[in-house]
Amino acid sequence: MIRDTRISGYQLSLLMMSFIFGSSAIVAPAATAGQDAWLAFILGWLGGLLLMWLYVTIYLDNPSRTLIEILRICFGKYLGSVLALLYIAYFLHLASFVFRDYGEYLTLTTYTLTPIAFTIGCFALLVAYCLKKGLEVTGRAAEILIPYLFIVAIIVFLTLIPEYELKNLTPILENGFAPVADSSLRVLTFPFGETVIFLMIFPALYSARKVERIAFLSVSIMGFTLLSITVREVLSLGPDLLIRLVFPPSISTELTPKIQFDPLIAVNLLLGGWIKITVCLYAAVVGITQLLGLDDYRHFVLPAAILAVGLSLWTFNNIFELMHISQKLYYYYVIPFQVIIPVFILVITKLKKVFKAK
Amino acid sequence: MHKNKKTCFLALVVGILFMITGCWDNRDVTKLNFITALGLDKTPEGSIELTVELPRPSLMGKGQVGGGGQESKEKPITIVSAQGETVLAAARNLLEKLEKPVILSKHELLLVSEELAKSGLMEVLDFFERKPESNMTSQVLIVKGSPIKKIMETESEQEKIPSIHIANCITTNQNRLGSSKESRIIDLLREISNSGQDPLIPTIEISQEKEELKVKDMLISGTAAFRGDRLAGYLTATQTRGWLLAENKAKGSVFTVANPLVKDQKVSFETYRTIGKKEVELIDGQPRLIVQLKVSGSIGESQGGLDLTQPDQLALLQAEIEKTIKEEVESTISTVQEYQTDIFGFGEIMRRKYRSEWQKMKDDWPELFSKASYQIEVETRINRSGYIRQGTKSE
Amino acid sequence: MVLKVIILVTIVLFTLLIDLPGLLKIKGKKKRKALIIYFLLLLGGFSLGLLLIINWNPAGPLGLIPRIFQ
Repeated sequence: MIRDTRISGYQLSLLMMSFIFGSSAIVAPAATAGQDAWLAFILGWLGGLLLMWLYVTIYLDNPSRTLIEILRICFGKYLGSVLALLYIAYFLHLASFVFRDYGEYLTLTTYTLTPIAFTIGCFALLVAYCLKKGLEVTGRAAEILIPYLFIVAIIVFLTLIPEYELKNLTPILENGFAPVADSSLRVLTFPFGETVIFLMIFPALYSARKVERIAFLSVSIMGFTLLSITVREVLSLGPDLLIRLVFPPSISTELTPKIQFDPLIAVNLLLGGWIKITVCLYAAVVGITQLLGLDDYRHFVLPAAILAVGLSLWTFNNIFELMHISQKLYYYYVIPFQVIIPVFILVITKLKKVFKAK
Repeated sequence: MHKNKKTCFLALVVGILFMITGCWDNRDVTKLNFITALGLDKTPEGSIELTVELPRPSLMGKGQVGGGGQESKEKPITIVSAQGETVLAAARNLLEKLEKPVILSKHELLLVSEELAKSGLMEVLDFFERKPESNMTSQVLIVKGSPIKKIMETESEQEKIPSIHIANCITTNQNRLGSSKESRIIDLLREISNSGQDPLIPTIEISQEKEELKVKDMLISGTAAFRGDRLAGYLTATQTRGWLLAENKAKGSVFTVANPLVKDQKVSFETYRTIGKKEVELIDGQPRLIVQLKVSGSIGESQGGLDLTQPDQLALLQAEIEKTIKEEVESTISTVQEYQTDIFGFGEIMRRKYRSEWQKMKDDWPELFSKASYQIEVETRINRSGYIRQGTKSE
Repeated sequence: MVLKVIILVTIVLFTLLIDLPGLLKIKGKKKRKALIIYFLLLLGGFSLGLLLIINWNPAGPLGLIPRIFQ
């Protein structure tokens, strides 16, 4: 059944773009660098392209195999399975992160009295339904919906122009390079490094040769969009305020006189977050299915969604814990998944090839 | 089996239908009070008094302006106030007196009393920053001298809602006269958190004590200079214009100077474009403030004739205007130096230009700023003189 | 509290109602595997829900994973 999943190149690029867009558009991961956020973001973006190259190379060395299969080939049956299990846990955990980000934003801005469990639950229902119908459905829906994401980003960017103050970008590197490096590492792991998940999705593409082009194009386009959003926040809010905000867009969108763009940001989050969670859950359930040698991943979508929702509600007691973990600790936690293991995979596959040639 | 699935699906759909009949947070507009203006005062006991202006939609349609029917004696607005330890507590206490819950997000004006401004604005601004439903683009105004309630209870003859009248006045005064300055909550927050720039907030005061106060009896000009979030002192309307000129925010204004040729006669110079530039230079470790202005405009009125086609007369007038503008800006700078508030943001320029020096000077900046020498350069261009080249001479 | 438990149980029952027919159709050895993993996942979600309801959260084990690196 996994082999039957087929999406087109355009759909894959849309999935990738909205996956990267996901919740990072509201959390503004580069914000901690203050006025140098743009610089931190660009560095993270370049790092993200490098990581993308790593993932694509791994995939091209092991064509039409998912991450789980690649892990088993490289590390043997037992170690490979353990690593695969860890990856599956990570994907579920990631889904729960996005669920919580989404829920917190909506609770903070729009649905102040609605219990967060209800907002997240409704969202999970949608995601589970889409996924139960197959990834193709999500892909096709993305074709209709995701273009709005860019339109909204452009509209908000343009309407805020009167608020921009160029002096907010200077002085460059006021506190040295350390905060910028720290921020760029954050950008690298969230959202760019998370694209490691697409190693689970690449096999679903019609023509494997296109992967390289699609991946780099998506990361570039989305990097540019997110850069414009980062610059928008820095220019319109100023570094001092930006560092203190939980969700920068919640205030920057209020600045346009007479128009409230807040709902548009929520829509953007909904579109991006929807794809992101769908991809995470898909990767997790496909991973489970392959690990056990089963055929159909769709059976596990609903319980996995329930598990992710439960995790998202249960892992963090309050928003401070969420912020603390996602800002201070998240990258230590994900670097093994995003960088270290993939590098090992690459080295092992290359070595194997060399030995085989001999 | 297939049938079973369909039944389940149907049950699910019906179940969801019941759950999503409406928004959880649904609040009907008819069951809400919208607030158009907020006033914040500090009582002698130290708690915060919140005064709100609530328009009464049922009376908005009829009444004084236009119509021509019988005049409604009832005011289209109500003023309610309540006290509390914090703004939120006061807002909750307000509910005791109102029949419907209030919604904050539409307020256009925030009035803050002198006492509160003296003891620090962040005491109350935190609420507006934190609350998702507050309006960050609402204008802030300092009430000088009189109690807030008195200002809020005034009526306007031109607008149904007096706060809208006041808010419009500030904008007009800034753009056409240069006597006031718009300051939104968001600007304020940016400036307070910035160590190199202090905020400047417009003021309002009662100019004529009367039994029934109207908005026209109030003086909506001049500004209050802050050090951080604390009130440091007031600037007059002309001093405010000096700031606007330097800050490149003066869109248009009128400068009236003495006619250099005829005694006791005046000439009004109408500006429509000014370019202001600020600069700081460090000379022997001492900052030197530089303001460069390029003012261009036309002669709007001249008493006692003036022939501007003659270069020497033009030069004389130009020098006179330059002198006036220079004096104005000088007066602004010397006043804020006295108050030790850097409303021009010279510190901010220092921060960008002399990065390492600024790190050392940061903490003593108000002191250093107040002692800094300054230099003002004004360049005036008189482009036009209206329809006539020279005024009618009575002979 | 009771209401919350009822909601949780209803959600789980609905999930079973939707998924079980498909799961039971699987043939052979795979059926047992699939059922075991399915119930494990569901049990995970269900127990998390229960923990949430009784408000038991000692900093959450999965929140703990990143916390180890602190």
